[in-house]
Amino acid sequence: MIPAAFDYLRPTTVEDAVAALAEAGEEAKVLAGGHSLLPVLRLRLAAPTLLVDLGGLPQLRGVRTDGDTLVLGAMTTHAEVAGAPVVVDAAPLLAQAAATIGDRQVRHRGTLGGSLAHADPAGDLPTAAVALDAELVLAGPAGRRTVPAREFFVDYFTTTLRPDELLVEVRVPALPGWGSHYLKVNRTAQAWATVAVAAVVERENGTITQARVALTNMGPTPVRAVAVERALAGVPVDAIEAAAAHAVEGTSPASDTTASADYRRHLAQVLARRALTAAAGS
Amino acid sequence: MRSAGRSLPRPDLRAKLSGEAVFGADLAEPGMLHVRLLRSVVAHARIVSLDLDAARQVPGVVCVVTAADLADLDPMWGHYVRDRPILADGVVRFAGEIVAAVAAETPAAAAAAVAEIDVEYDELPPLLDVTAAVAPSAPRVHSGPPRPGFACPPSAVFGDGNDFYRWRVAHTRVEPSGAEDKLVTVAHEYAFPAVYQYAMEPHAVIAEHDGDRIRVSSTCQHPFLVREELALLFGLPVDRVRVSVPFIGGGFGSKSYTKMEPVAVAVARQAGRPVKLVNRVEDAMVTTRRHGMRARMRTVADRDGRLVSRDAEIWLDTGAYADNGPTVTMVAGMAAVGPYRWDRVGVDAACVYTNLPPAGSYRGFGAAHLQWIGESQVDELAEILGMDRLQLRRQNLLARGETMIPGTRPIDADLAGDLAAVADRLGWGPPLPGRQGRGISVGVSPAGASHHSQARVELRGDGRVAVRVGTQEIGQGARTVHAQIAAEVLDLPLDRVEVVPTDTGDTPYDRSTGASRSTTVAGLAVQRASEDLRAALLRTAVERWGVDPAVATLAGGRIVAGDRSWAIEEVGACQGHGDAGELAAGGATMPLFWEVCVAGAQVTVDPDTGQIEVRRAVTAADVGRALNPSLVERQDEGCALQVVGNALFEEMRFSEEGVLLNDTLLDYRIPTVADVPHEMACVIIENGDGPGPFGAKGCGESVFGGLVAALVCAVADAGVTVRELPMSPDRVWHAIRSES
Repeated sequence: MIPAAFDYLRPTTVEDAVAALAEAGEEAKVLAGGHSLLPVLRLRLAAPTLLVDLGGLPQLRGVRTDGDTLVLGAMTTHAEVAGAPVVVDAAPLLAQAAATIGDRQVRHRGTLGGSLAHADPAGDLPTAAVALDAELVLAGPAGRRTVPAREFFVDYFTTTLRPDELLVEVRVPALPGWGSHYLKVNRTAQAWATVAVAAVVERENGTITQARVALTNMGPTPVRAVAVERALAGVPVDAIEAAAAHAVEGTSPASDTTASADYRRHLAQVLARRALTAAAGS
Repeated sequence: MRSAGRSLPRPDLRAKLSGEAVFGADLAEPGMLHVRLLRSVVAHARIVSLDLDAARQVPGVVCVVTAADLADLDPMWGHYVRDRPILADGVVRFAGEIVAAVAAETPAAAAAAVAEIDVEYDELPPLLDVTAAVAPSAPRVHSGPPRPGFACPPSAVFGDGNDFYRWRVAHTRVEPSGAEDKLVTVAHEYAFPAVYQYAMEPHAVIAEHDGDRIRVSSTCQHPFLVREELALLFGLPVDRVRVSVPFIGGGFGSKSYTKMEPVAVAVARQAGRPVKLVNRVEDAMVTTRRHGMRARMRTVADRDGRLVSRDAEIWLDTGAYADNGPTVTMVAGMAAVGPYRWDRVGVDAACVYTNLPPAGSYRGFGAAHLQWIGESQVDELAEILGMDRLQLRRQNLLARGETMIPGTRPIDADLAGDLAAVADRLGWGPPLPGRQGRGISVGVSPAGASHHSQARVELRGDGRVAVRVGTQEIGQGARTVHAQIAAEVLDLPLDRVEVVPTDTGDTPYDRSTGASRSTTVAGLAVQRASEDLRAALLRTAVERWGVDPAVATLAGGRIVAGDRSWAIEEVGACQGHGDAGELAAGGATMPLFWEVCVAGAQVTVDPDTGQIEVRRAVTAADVGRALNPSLVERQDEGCALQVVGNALFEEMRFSEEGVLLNDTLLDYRIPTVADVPHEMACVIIENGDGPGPFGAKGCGESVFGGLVAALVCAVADAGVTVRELPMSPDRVWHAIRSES
């Protein structure tokens, strides 16, 4: 279908972008890579009157470190997240998750900020952000505020972003010495995750000191598998199998055209076990 | 041979790679309007009211057309069964049925007007699967007996239930003998999902109706049948209807027979201006699809490993309108038999109306539906008998010349040789360890459809040769192969031969592009037309230059007689005509040839996730003679990838109200290059035994029969029995869980 008519704005400063959003209110949508927004427009699931294109904001693109923190601009593409040595070094989980998204073309256009702000429960980067305890920097008319990833995702396609706010930056604390792994099952190579698991593990002398596990597509938002994490505090690596069985606690997966909820629950446990094992071994 | 038999590059390659190739959606006519359709959102209802006033007020709208505007026509169409109104007439029978059409100056105006149409439906209970539809108390999807369409075979017999067509075979070669305790039996129920053909380009039509003439450009596989149907519908002689065909972005059966042309012409008639109608994917998915199916099968063998009997009952869901459903049903019934020397066989295949979108042709139909069922039962028998699965097949396989189904052509291929070639390439051997499995399968499918193909080959003044043949280039390489055939006969370099796009106004008749007939049947017409041109050139040389007919020949674009020679263009314009009709002469029975469906697969199953990895896919292309080996291989590879989709994850899912749920490519996933099996091999078998040019016979569809079956058998060999496709991870896991 053809999208409904809309106005188009391509600001060159974050302030102008935020001002435009503040003026348009609920009627505006932000265009980053467009991979989720364009289908929504074409299917007329949304009919915004204004698109604010962030393509003219190179200041939102790129990766740097700030002390022990990895700082990624919201307009950094999946390909850059997957390939930048500084990301691979400081947050390999994020790079690995980004590398599993879509196909090569998608990864060169889709953006980190777009993926997080879109908040698709089947998205990979929201889960990685939650597992890594990333912080999201939001710019609004009154200035900037920082929201932990765990509080950012509220519901299906819903975040704490206000209509006049823009996600500008993602800050990921480095976890030196931790192992990590992102593991996904999808129905075809380029489809969204049926289920995926992000695991981050700190080890000391064959013992897991702490672990963080987040699940993709096991509910309306990325879910931290807290029961698994609790079971993995200060235990030997061979406790992973028993701990992974807790991966379904607190989840509410859907049955849809891709898979049934009971298969998703099973898959969460299998992938949690495998991702944790890989993370603990790496 | 200089041209035929070589992997020459496609003459249309440059146009397609550079973007110069013109496809349907690229076409435009001066003064053209854009059409958008209002489709039913419910699966079964009476239309209580249709308010068009607001739609007509939208700026730019020229006309809004409904069934009420077609009162002067008999608006029912359908080549096999004339069961389908151009626009819903009082009743909608599936979600997606066309209720009204808007023509406007711009696509946006047409879309806006469609949104303004107000329809009130009185919903009726929908029949959403074959079981419900054949229940004795089920309401009828169509009242009254089926009306045969213009292309309905005279032998077709219709019933008056929702199972309006049945294909049956009940044949006893010898009375099954032997004590019951010496027999082993397997019997199960099976299901195949509705799937979508997904040609990269959806249907596109430009239509013009100026009162006594119709002109259509359409992305259709069968332009001559479309011409005939439009002439019948709009009450014109066929010569007043012209159908031309641009490049086609894939068909796979989705563009066979008539699809969007009737509604486009109806709107053009009302508007008095040319109109353009382009389907999007969500339209295409409710225009045609593959039949979903339920089946029961029972296969019996004796303890010595002799296959004794087979019985099958099959119900194919053809949706609300028949489309090509009866043909699919017949081919499915034939595939159910299987190429073995049964004592007794009984198959009853039903084509069933439901309130789902209509189903028609899709590559390998029938064989895709049934071969995996029969072959998995052969595997189960081998398991019970403790026999090697390949050996059980070998000792029961029909030999060349033996009859599979009474009244049909005897087997015309070396099935045992094909099976051996695939087994060899696959690496048949002792069972693989762990959750790995191998499968191999053999079947045949009727091909060729009809011997009605003609061609004209014209020598032009510049010494180039134009081939006029009504076969459509749909990606399969027909234009390349037809050019190669002409170049071979006329001893010309390929770049001096051009296959001209079809315009029914001046292209000789060709029934259809499908049933793997383009090389074999249309190709034979091209060969004969080229031979006719060759003879005409030599006759002229004899007459004009006094050449000795005994020594005159064609070589490298010259007529050569001893030490004298003339460029062929010196003869001037000259034509040759060819007709494949002789193919079926001599009392031979249908099909024109059996397409051999032999394939093998090796898989790994992850028992924890239910994921299947296709390690190796081996296909046999028993093509008689490969006129372009590279194109043969590409046909098998492309089909193998479609099989991966059909067998492993594709499935059209409908809501409990009968509305298609996954109607976008975001939700309906097809395989991409990232889903290709780890290793694919196509074994080309050239026994020179085809009825086509140089001993060729068609290919390109057989992989659907062979490889779906090989994959199911390989997964079973890996320890997971699946009797409902697709073998999605979810279903495979459930199968594992229910076994343990």
